[in-house]
Amino acid sequence: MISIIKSRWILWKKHWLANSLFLFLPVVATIITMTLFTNIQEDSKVPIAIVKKEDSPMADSLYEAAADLPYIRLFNLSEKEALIKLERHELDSVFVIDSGFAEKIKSGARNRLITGYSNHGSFAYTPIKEMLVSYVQTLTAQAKTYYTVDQMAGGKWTWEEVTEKISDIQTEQQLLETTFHLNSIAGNATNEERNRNLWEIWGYFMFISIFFLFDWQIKEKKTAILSRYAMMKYSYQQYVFFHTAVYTFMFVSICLLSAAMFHMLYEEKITFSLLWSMVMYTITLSLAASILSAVYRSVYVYYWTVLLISGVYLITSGVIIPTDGIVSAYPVISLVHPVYPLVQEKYFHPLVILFLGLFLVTQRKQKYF
Amino acid sequence: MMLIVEKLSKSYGKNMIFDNLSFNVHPGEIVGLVGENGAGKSTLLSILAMVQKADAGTITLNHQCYQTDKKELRRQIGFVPQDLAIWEQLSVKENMQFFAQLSWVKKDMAELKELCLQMQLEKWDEPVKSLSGGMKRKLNIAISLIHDPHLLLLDEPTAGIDLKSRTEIGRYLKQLASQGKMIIYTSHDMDELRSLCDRVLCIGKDPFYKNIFHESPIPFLAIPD
Amino acid sequence: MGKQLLLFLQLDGKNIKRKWRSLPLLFLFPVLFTLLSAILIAFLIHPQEKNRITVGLIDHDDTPETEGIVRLFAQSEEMNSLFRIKEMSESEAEQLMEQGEISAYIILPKDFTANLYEGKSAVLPVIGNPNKQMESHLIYEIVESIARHIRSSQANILTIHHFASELGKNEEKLQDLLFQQFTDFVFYTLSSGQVIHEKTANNEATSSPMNYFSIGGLFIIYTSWLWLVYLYLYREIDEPLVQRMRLYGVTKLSFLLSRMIWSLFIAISWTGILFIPLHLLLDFELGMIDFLKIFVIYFLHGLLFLCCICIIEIVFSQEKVQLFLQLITFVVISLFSGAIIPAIYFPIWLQELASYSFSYEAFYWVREIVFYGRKFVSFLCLLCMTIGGNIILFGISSWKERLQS
Ligand SMILES: Nc1ncnc2c1ncn2[C@@H]1O[C@H](COP(=O)(O)OP(=O)(O)OP(=O)(O)O)[C@@H](O)[C@H]1O
Ligand SMILES: [Mg+2]
Repeated sequence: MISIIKSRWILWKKHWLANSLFLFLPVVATIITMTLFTNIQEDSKVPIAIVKKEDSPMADSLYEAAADLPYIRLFNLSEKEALIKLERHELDSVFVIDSGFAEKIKSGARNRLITGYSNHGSFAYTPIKEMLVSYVQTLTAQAKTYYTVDQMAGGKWTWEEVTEKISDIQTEQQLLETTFHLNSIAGNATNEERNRNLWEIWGYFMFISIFFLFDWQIKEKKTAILSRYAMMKYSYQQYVFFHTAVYTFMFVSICLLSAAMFHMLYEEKITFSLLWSMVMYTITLSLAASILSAVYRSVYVYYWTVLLISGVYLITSGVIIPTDGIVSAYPVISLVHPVYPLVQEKYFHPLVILFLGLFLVTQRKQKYF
Repeated sequence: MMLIVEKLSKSYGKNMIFDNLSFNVHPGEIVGLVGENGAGKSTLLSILAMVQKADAGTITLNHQCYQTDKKELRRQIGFVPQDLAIWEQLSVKENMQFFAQLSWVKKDMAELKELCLQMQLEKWDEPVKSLSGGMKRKLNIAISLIHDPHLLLLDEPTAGIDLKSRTEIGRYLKQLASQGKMIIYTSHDMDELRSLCDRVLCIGKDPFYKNIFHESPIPFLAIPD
Repeated sequence: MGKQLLLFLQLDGKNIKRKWRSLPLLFLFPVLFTLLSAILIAFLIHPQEKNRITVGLIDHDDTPETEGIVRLFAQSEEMNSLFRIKEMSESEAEQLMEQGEISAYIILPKDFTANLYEGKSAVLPVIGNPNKQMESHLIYEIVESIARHIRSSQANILTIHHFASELGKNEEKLQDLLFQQFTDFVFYTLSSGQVIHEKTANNEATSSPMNYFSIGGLFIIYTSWLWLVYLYLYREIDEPLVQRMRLYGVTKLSFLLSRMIWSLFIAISWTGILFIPLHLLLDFELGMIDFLKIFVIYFLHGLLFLCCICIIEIVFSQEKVQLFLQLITFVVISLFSGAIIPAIYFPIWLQELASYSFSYEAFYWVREIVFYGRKFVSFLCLLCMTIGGNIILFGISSWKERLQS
C-alpha cells in the first residue's frame, strides 16, 4: 500500500495546485458560498412604495412600522410615480394611505383605509399586505378599546391617555409568548439545529470535487502505458482498485476537515451519525466516480458528462429549489439521490451497495491484466 | 529455462496476421525479429508479453504455461513497447520512481540511476517533455528493465537512437544475455541485427527479408506460409 | 487569418455533421433542465392535497375562549392554505408525530385564558417534528404571527380591565365584560379582509410571471446552449499537432474563433426555433423590426459570453480548472442578467455590480422590447462592451502565443 501511495504522490504533485484546489473545494467553496448566501439573504430587500396622501401621526407611524421591517426597501413616492414604477416592475407593490386615514380610524371605520396595488409579478405583495393589515388592525383595535372605555366612563379619559395605557401594557406586562422546540422522542434529536443548507451545499461541492479529481483514471488509461501493467506487481485492475481506495481515503479526510471547520465556524454539532453519513456519502460518490471514469476514454467528454449530471444533481438536491414537498410525496427520490441520506443522516443507504456492486463488476470487465 | 511457442495463430477479424507459428528461444540467446511493416512483429511481441491474447496455440516459458500461470510469468517478462509508454509530464527520475514503486523488485535511487546510465541516459531531473526523441526511447527501455526480467521483449528499441548509444545498449543487452536471459527484439537495421543476434526470425509475407538472410551468415527461421 | 478561419469553420462544420446524432441531446438538455426546475417550483407553490401538512392542537384549558382561539387557527387564511388543523390529546399527538403523521403540535396550557386576562405570563408552546424541520419552523412562524394578533387583543382587554377597575366595577360583571370583549376582538381580527382596498396596477398581461420567466428562461437556455455547443466542439489536439499547425502560421485563436462562430450560429438558430412556439403561446405583439433588435441583442450577448469563456480557456491550461471557472462564469452571468430572479430583489450592492454586466444590459433591453414595447433601443453600451471584450481576447491570446513560442 505504501508503494501505491508513493506512486500516487509522484503523479499528484505534478499538478498539485489544481489538484489541491479541487481537493479543498468542498471546504473553501462551501464557506464562500455560505458567506455570500447569508450576505445576500440579509441584504436582499423587496422594493415597495408607501404613498402618504395624508400627513397625520397615525399615517407616519404606519409608514415607520413598514420601514422597520427587515426585508423591505421602502420608497416614499408620489402616487403617480409609484404606479409607473410598479408597471415597469421596478417596484414589487405599492400601498397608498388614503386621505382621512386617521379620522376614519378614530371614528371606528375599518374598511378601505389603504389601497394596495399589485401586478402579476408581485412576489411580496401578500406578506406585506398582511403586515400592514395587522398594523392597521392594532390601530383600529385601539380605537375600539377607546370607545369601550369611553362608553363605560363617559368621556373621563382622552384618546391619548387610553392609547398610552395600551402601549404601557404592551411594554410592561408579560403578554402571550410562544416557544418552539423539537420533540425529542420522535426521531433522533441530534438533528436539532442542523444547518441543512450548509450540508446541501457541501454535498454539491463534494460531488464536483470527487468527480473532477477522479479524472486520473482516464488520464492514466493511456494505452501505451497500460501495456506495462501486464508485467508489474499490480495488475491494472489492482492498480485502479488501490488508487480508488487511496482517493476515497483522501476524501474521507476532507470530510473530517470539513466537519471540524464547520464546527468552528457555524457551531455545527459533530455527532457520530453526522460523520458516518458524511463518510458514506463520500464513499458512494467515490465509487460512482470510479465507475463513470472507467467508462470514458476522453477526459473532456467525461468532464462534460459530470457537468450535466451535476446540474441535475443541483436542481434536485434542494439547494436552489426546496424539494421537501416532492420528496415526501415521492420517497423514491431520496433513495436515488445521494444527498438525502446525507442530510437526513441515514446510517444505511442502498446506493452504496449498488455502486459497490457495479464497481466490482466494471473492475472485472477491465481488459488488461 | 526456455521459451517454447507452438502453433500460434492470430488474426484481427478477417485479417490473418500469422498462422501456425512455432519457435523456441534458449537462455542466453538474442533473437531478432524481422519483417515488413505490418508483418505482425509488434503483435507477436505483445502476445508474448501477455498484453494481447493469441487465437490459438500454446506458449510456455520455463515450463510454465501462459494460459494458467500468468501470475508467476508476469515477473519474468520485460516488454519495451513500440510506442512510448512513459509519463510525459514527469521527469526521468519520477518516471523511474513511479514504475519502481509498482514493480516486483525494490530498487533504490542509485540503482535506478545506474540503469539509466547503462542506457546512456544522463538526464535525470529533466521532465520527459523536454527530452529528445532518442532519450525518450532510452527511458522507455530502462523502465522495462527495472524488475530484472528473464525474458526481454524489445519492440524497435533502438529506432532513433544515435550510433554510439546504440552500440552501448547492444553491449548491455549482450551482457544480459550472457547472464542467461532471453532477448527477442525487432529492428529494421540489418547491421545491428547481424552484429547482435544469434538467430533471426522472419515473419510476414514479403520474401524480401528471407532472401537477405539466405545469404547472411546468421541462422534464420523462416515461417512457412 | 481569414483563410485559416474559413478552413476551420469548414472543419468544424464537418465535425458537427459527423457527430450530428448527439446534437438533439444538446438541444434538449437545457430545455429539459428548465422544465424540471419548473416542475419542482410548481410543486413548491402548489403543495398537493395529500401532503398538506397536518398540525395537532391540544387544548388543556377547555374554555370558550380557547375554543375561539382554536377556531381562529382553523380559519386563518395562511394556516388553511398550507395546513390541516386537528384537535387531539397529547398522547395521541406524540404517537402521530412518531409515525410522521403530523409535523408539529400546539399546546394551549391549563389556565391559559385566565392568565391572558390577568396579564400573567401565558405561553403557547409549539413542538416540532425533528424529522420535518422545515415544516415545523414554518408552522411556528405562522403561530407566532397569530400570537401577535392575540397579543394586541390582550393589551386592549387589559387596558379595558385597568380602566374598568379604576371605575370600581365589580369583579363578576367585569369578567363578563372581558369575555365579551375577548370574543369580539378575536372575531374582529378574523374579519380583516376589508382593510385594504386591493387593485391591480393596469399593466398589460405581458409582464405576468409566466411571461417573465418564459422570456427569462429562454435567455438562460440560450446562454447555456452557447456554452454547451462550444464545449461540444472541443477537439483534443496534442502537442505535435499544435506544433505542426504553428508551422502553417495557425494560432490557437483561429480554432477558438471558429468554435465561437459555430456556437453562436447554432445557439441562435435554436433559440429562434424555440421562440416561435413561445411567441404563439404567450402572444406578444412583436413586429419584424423587434425581432431583428432582439436578434442583435442576443448576438452581442452571445459574443461577449463566448469571449469570457474563451479567455478562461486561453489563460488556464488545466481542463478541469477551465471548466470549473466557466461554470462559475455561466452561473454568475445568468444570475446577473436578472432572468432568473428579477434584479430588483437583489441587495443594492449586488444590483450595482450586476448593472455593469453585459448580461444585465442585454436582458434589460430584451425586457424593454418584449414587455414594454420600447421602440428605441440603445446598442451603444453592448457594442462597446463587445468591442472591448474582443480586444481583450485578442490581446490575451497573442500574449499567450508569444509566451509559448
Ligand atoms: N488493434 C488492431 N486491430 C486491427 N488490426 C490491427 C490492430 N493492431 C494491428 N493491426 C494490424 O495487424 C498487422 C500487424 O501489425 P503490427 O503492429 O504487429 O505490425 P509490425 O510488424 O509491428 O509493423 P511495424 O514494422 O510497422 O511496426 C497490421 O496489418 C495492422 O494493420
Ligand atoms: Mg511494430
